[in-house]
Amino acid sequence: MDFFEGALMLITNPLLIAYLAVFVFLGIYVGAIPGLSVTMACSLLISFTFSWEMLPALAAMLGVQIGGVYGGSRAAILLNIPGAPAAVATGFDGYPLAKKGLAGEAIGVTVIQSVVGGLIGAIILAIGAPIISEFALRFAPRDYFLLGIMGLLLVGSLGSESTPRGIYAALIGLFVGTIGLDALTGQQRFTLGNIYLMGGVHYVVVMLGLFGMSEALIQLRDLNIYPVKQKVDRIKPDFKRVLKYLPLTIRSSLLGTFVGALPGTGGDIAALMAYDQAKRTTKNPKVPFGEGAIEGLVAPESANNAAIGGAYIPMLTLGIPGDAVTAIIMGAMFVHGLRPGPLFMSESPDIFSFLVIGNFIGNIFLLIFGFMGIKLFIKIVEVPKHILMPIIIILSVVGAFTINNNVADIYWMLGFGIVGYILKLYHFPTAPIILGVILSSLVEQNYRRGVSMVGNNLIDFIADILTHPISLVLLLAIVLMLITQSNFWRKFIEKKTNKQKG
Amino acid sequence: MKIRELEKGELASILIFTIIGIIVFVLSFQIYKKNPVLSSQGAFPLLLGILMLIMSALMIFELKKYDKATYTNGSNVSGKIKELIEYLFPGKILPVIILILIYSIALPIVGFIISTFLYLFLSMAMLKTKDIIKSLLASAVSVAVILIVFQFIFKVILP
Repeated sequence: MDFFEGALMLITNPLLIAYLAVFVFLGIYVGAIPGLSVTMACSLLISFTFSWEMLPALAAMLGVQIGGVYGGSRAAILLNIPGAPAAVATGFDGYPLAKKGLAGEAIGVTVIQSVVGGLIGAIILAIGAPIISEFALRFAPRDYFLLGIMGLLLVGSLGSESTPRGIYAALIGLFVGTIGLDALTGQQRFTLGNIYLMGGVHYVVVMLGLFGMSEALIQLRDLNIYPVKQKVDRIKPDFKRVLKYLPLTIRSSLLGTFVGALPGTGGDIAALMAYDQAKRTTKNPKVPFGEGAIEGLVAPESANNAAIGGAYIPMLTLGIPGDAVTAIIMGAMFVHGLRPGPLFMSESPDIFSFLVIGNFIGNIFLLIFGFMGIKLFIKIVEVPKHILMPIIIILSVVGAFTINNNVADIYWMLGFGIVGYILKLYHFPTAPIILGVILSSLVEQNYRRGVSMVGNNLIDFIADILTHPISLVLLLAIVLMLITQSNFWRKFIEKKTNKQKG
Repeated sequence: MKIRELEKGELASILIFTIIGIIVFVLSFQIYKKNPVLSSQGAFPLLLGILMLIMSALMIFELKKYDKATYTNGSNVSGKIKELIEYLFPGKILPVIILILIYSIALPIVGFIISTFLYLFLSMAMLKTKDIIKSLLASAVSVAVILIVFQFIFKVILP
């Protein structure tokens, strides 16, 4: 009954639907502008919607995420600059199509595929989350500890040129999360006697610094990059193609949802994997991949939007976010008093159904807005960086202040902004830091509970993990991940491939 | 084959991260030794400190996969520092950062509207000196929009 109550809350409230619509629309443009990311927009939104009621705030965040993940493809097709990481693969064939004067058709395909992918993701979220949630009730504290470690390892090792740097970034996040009063003993840790630090560093401050301020500084390094735009008059929907490519759409969406549901992996990895899968399984594409193959648009676009629904599954049921954007949305849920985790489905079934139905309705709005506003888009991407970036910095400042109405938060945000800027220059990923800060409490509390339960004995703790099937599987997954990321493994694979070639 | 050439200052950054790892380890150990059990308030941070040191060692070990950074001024220390600063803060990045710091200090003293307008105008004008009028207009419009959107729609208390 509660599930239907949540659905009705959204369907019967025109204001909430309007919020969703407006933010899907805004998300499309945020995602489309190179330099502005969905992560940045969600970080800003979380602080601006602090004082809002819970449901409008969630509708706004969900709308921006749905619109933004799709929006990135427009810039990838027209400018060959992905507006969002999830649109990298879309540019492989989208830009060649635009160069052939087929940008309208390419954008038309991406809109429909994004919507179909998003709807499939939402269906799997609706079916999968209750199953995982029930299973998650069997998880012991040691399992949550291992799951958190697995998520951090995944996000630290994927999408970074060096695994140790990715893991180090995650460790920084975990460390920042420990600053302040210890939740169990109330003792001060790393506060250096500073009153501000006793409350800990708020994760929104870290997010705004790392994704707002530092990204603006990176963009300002080169003001003289002007994207070369391809011409487009209107977006052409072609619904016949939907049926033609439906098997590929379904395959890619399922893959996208699955990859999105893995802790630590998001739409960008889902899109690249789906592109690769399409390339390998499409025997005779009309146009070769990389030169404007429609299959090269269908696969990543359906996968990256399907990954949204997928990423919500571990976030809502286990309290482990799938990627940086979902981590921010989880942060927003914390702000509004919600507790994503194994009890979420029984404690807040109405919010779960609100998010599922919101995913559906958001995708319907995407179908409407995706075909509109191409002229406005052309104008918006022309907003020069020297005007846009100082405004982003101001929004980050305002956002940091709104959390506690405290000027000290602004200084911390600026500090994280400058640190994030330097980290990015030296090829350190910043997403693991956010995940680390968000997961710090969960990982630490469960580790401490886990070792307490076996009398603070390390050997017993290890034996406890090895003798419980769920813990053992998680541990093996972590070990496997570490082995496959090691130099030893890479060299072994290289040797094996060379032998096969030779 | 090498991954890429190291950026200027990248080696120093890894050494700084190693030092941060040592600091975290020492501070955590001080907390841990007050109650040396695996579930104490110092145990988890201590584990983080140890892992940070291991990762730092791996990052140093990995350096052999990279080519050394090239400095045009050779071994001249002051020349190297100059090049490093140019790499970290090219163009107008440093003035932009200084302006943000001044803005954040002035904000509680001067107030949001005046300080934000001045910050936006000065940074826009500094980044593109030819567009003074455009910058003036853009900063005035931005302040007005921020005020309307945040005070009335988002109902946010501005600094």
